[in-house]
Amino acid sequence: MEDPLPETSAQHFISNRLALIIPPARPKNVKARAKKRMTRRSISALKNFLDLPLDIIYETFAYLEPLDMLTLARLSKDFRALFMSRSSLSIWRRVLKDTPDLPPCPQDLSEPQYASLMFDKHCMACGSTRGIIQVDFKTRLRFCATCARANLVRGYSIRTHDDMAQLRVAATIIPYSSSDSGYMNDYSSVENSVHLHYFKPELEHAIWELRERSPSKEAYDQFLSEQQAIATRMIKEGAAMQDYKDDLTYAKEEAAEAVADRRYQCILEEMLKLGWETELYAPEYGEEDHAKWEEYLYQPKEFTARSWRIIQPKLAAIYQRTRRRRLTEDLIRRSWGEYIQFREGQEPEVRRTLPPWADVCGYSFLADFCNANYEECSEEQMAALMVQIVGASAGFAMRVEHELAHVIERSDETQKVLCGDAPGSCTPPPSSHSSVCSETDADAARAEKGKSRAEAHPPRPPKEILARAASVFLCQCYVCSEKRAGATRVFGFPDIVNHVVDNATIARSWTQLRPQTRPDGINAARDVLAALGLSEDCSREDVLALGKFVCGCGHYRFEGPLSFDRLVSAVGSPACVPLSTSCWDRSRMCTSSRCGTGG
Amino acid sequence: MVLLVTSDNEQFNADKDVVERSVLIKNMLEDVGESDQPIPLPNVSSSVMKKVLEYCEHHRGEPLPSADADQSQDETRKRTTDISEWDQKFITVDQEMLFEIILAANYLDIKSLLDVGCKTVANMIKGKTPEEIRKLFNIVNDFTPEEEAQIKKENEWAEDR
Repeated sequence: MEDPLPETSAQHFISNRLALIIPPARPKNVKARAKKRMTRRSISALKNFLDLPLDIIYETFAYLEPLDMLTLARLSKDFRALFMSRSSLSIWRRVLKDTPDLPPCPQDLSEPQYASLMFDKHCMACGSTRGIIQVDFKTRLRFCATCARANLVRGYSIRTHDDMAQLRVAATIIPYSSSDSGYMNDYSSVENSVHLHYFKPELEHAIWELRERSPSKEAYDQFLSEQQAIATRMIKEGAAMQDYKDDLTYAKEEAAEAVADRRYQCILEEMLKLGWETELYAPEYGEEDHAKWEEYLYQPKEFTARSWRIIQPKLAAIYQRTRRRRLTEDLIRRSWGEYIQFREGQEPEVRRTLPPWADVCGYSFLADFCNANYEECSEEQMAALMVQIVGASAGFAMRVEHELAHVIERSDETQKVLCGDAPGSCTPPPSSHSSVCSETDADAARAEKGKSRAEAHPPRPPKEILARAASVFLCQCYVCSEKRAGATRVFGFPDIVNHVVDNATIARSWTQLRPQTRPDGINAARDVLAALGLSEDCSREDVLALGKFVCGCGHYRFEGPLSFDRLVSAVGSPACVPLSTSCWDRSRMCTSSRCGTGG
Repeated sequence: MVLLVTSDNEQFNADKDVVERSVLIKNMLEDVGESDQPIPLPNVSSSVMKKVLEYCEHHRGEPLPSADADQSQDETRKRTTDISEWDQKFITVDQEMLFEIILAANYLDIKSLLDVGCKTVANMIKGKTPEEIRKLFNIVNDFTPEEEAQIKKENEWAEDR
């Protein structure tokens, strides 16, 4: 048990702090209300109500809450006269006593004032009920944010009124404001510091009171000790009131949560009756409609048939939408798996005509297929989809050839710019001679050079470009990146297509997968061809006919037997170091001796 | 059987154990002893008496609350405004009749009926705004808007103002 609060016979120097509140600069508008005429019926009814014997009226109102009592006291002048008279003290006390866990009425407040402090909601300065209205139980005040700024100030902010020593003493004879969140001195006002918030008029009044008593030390000391005891009591009472309110808020939240849980369960049962598979098709966190779904299901309101009638169609729409989306996603996943399997079962020549799944997802018929079959999709329907995909992918192979041929051509052009017209035989770029020529001369010369080159090298069909042994691509797929051992893997056409598409993740389209090449890769291929005594324009087929190779550098990783592509990859890697004057001759020699094949 | 005469001179015959739920009648019967004389009830009209007897008939045989028990209940237990289903249905009457029943229950000293009446009125008021209560009981707001704003701030006793 806590010690009872000290009873003090002394009165606080402020008897009515409400009279001291600093009003807002511009008073809030009070709506003009037309005064209703008192009708015969209303007079009669009023008579009936207040004609009941007083003991019955009190008996009736003993069942009310404190807030209801305040409401009654504000109904009319008759009711106000009845309820705000000390003759009604017993009923006020009874109502407050019957309010569970409500701390006793503080000594400095009347019962209606206490009820108003605890249960009214309006700002005591401007009367507003909008926005955040905070109750300051220690100072017994309740303000909106604007009025709080005007009325509750830090102690040191008024130090100009007196010296700091006087202010420090004054702060100990009044309660501090609870707006100093986190400050937990609920024991003694002597601990109050000038850094805390105070009710400004009260603090100013306290300074004045102290100054008035300062000529007589005895009167001053007595006043000080009495007022400190009162302020301490007010702080403790305020803390108890705050605890009560906090408990009330917590209990309300818990009750609301319990109601919401009950409602949730009832709705789930109703859904079950409708055959809804909520475990599978309720929108999950992060999904579309999840917030709305939770909002409909989880409300602090009791479940009723009427509320179910209202929310059921809304929930049904969300449920159906989510179910359809999930089933469609399942079907797309299944179609992807089937496609991968189907693609893997094809010969390389057919496989290279089938695009990555991300490209297939762009086919409009896939959406139609999902819309038509998301509920159920048979094996036959899936097989028909594969046929449809093959049909729609006819253009893919041609597109791939064009794009890859373009990649090679671009690389060739880059090489020519860097090394002159003779590929493979790098010569330094033209000297700074050109810098002395005029711009016009240079442009004309470039145009002339381009024209003559076009005449010398007419555009070749993509197939022909890709069929060259020197047309190699550097693979950048994640499989090769993971397995990479110093050397960049190179592939010719069409192996490169199957390789990147086979290893593609679900989200990557051909545009993202499209392999690239580099002049040094192509140069490595040309060097190998030169070492093998083949022309740089020889076809891939001719080279593959030679069989496997061994790199002559002697590095253990390139001992082989290596395919042509792997040999190019080895030669292009920094690990490959020629052992003698010509690595490529040795390569050729080794090819003959160890692998039984060669040029 | 006991004969009761209402203010409008209507006579009601009722069983003794029914009418004895009224402490007033019970005391009267004890005072006069066995008699065929009618008991006059000048403060109760026939329409109200009918309702009161209906209530007493329904609650016949139930133990009467003793004065001491009632007092201790007031002191120790928090008051609830819960009303049983039958009582709720019984008391669903117009406002004038409700007040008449309350007055009759008070006059006849039927504590349980008085409680039901008071609780019903309390329930009608609970949680309502001033405007709703005014509408319910036909009370006219005779405050000016300025006065209305002011009284929200002033909660001290009238004697202290």
